[in-house]
Amino acid sequence: MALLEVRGLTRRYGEMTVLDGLDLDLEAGQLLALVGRNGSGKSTALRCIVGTDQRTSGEVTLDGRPYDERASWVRAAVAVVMDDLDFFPDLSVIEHLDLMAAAHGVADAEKTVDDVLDDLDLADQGDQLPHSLSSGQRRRLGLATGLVRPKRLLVLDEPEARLDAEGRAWLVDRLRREKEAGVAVLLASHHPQLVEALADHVVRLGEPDEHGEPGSSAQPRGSA
Amino acid sequence: MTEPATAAGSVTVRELRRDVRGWRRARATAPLSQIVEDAYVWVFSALVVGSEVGSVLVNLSRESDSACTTAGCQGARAMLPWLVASLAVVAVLGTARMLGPVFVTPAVGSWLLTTPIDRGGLLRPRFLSVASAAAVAVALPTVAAAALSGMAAAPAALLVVVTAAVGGVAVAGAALAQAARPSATSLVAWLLAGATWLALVATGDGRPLVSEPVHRLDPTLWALLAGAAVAVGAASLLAVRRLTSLPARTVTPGGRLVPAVSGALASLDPALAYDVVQVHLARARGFVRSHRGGPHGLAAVCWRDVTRLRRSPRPTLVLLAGVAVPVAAWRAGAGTVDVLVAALVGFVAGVPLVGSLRSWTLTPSLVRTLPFRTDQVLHAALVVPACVLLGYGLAVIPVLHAAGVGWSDAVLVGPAVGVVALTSGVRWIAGRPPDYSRPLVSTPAGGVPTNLYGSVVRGFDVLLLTVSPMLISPTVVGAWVSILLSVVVVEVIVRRR
Repeated sequence: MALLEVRGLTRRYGEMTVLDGLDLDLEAGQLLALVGRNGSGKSTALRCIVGTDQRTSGEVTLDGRPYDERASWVRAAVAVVMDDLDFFPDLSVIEHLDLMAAAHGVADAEKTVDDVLDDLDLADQGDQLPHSLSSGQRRRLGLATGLVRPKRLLVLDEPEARLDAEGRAWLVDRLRREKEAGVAVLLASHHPQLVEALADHVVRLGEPDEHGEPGSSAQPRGSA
Repeated sequence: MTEPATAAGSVTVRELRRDVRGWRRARATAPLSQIVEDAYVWVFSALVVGSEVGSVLVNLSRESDSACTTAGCQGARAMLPWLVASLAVVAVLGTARMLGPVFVTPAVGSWLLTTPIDRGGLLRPRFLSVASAAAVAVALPTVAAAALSGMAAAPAALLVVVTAAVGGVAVAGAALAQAARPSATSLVAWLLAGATWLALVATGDGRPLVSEPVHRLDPTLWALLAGAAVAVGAASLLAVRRLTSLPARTVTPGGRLVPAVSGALASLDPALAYDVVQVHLARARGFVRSHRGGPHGLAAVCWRDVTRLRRSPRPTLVLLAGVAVPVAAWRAGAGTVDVLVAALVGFVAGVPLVGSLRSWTLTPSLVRTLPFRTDQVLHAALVVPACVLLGYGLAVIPVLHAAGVGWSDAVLVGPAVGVVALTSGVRWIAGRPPDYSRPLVSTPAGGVPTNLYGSVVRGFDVLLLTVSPMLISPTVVGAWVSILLSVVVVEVIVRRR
């Protein structure tokens, strides 16, 4: 049984259909990439899957149980890094990540946080308040929140955004390590090299079906 | 390659302003008659509201004349205008420090400050506007307090003029410190706040600095007026001369803050304005010394509030210093109404303590990153503020006893006051903002959400609801009913998220 199963996911805004019957299966240790042009519904699909947007119809299960983002077991299992993450204005970068790691019961929270900060080149910004960071640094802090904690499923929306070439290379390496550790990764991406290097399955969104409606096509790939 | 324009060859501020005025007039969308009509409505409304407020104040003052007969009450009443004026100046200094006080809009910062025009000429009207606004902001509450104190008209008018001048001087001083030592403004504000607090404590102790209202114009008041006039002139002159050298980095942040706060207040959402200010302060501060370690699990959420208290003990100190207010109210003869005064002070001073709750409720994505249900996180975020406010409740027990609540009742009424203050703070900070997606109510001002006007009294509504049982019956029973109501309100707010 797949860790994450999505069946018939549909999202309509009035007359406009953004997603029409999307089916996905994602197993532990695999990476599924949603690709497509701007506006094809990648982020909408992620939001509907993780429950931050209302599904018009369709079902999502995690480990065979209905996915309910309000349940603590779902929050313990799924790390979501999207653009809607905001921060406390009065806690430093380090304090945010320490809170995340400690709340998830990470044994050596401080070392884990320090390692992730080093990896993301944020060590020098550890004492900064989030609102004083640049947009790229805030994006990396968002990524860090998903990396300092244990998880079974990692959901990322365009994680390569605002990362330079070195940062993207690090991201590929880090996500590969997450996969090897048994974490399932679901991401939306515009970056072909990232997808090529990591994806076990690629789902193209926004490609018209035989009726001319927006649809999706799944392409299984050999493991990278 | 062309030569860059020299300052001498560029336009003057006067020419620039004339051009901008010309462009605006060319795009005017309302005829003069309509503008005059609007102005008439504004002036008429101000006169009606002003006369009604004045009438209420005069009536209250007359009632106080007959009801306030004890020496303690008369002393507290006589101190009222001085305390209010002093607090108003503290507020002006705090606001001036936050805004600049001299600031420009982002557009002016981008388009005009980068040109070689005279910066002093550009900033002078803005400085004068802010100084005038500060004078009015200090004068208005002082007028009300002077009327309530029973002060005679002539000395009251003189006092108002003097305090308005002090408000202007405060802004001029803040403008002088804006570039070189902005922290000096904060220091002066804190010193003045400390002096005001000591005067309040002395009043509560039955030794007010002024024992009776001023009834005649004595030489001291004239000397104060002369001193204020000299101070206004000197400080304004110095500040205006300093405007030319104000760097852009010190005048643009305030220009970004003002429209954001105005927008929040225009939507009658004071909590949103609070958010805007918090982000502005965080951006200005930039970094802190991180505190590491702490417990795991849900306790980690509480621990962050402990970190906040260690980093910024000011809200706790202000809350504890606020005990002086119910003490002074008791001395003024408030009786069991002191329960309401104590709860009100706890609510207003306690809001910063529940600041983390604002972030948790405003940003669902933040709560989702933790392995707990939303209500668990919100409950955890209440633990530390609840402890501090319970401490405040314990501190007011002797005051409430002095105000007429028996010892056996006061030991529960005090903590219940803390619980009521916490509940009101939670309602204020975590209440739902006006929802423009719901059906709107048609009004002469256009469509408004059903909960728009209610958001202005958010927090105060719950305060009145939960404190009422103790006002009706300041006993153990009343305290338990208040606590029960508070628990229900908090649970409704926390669990509907």
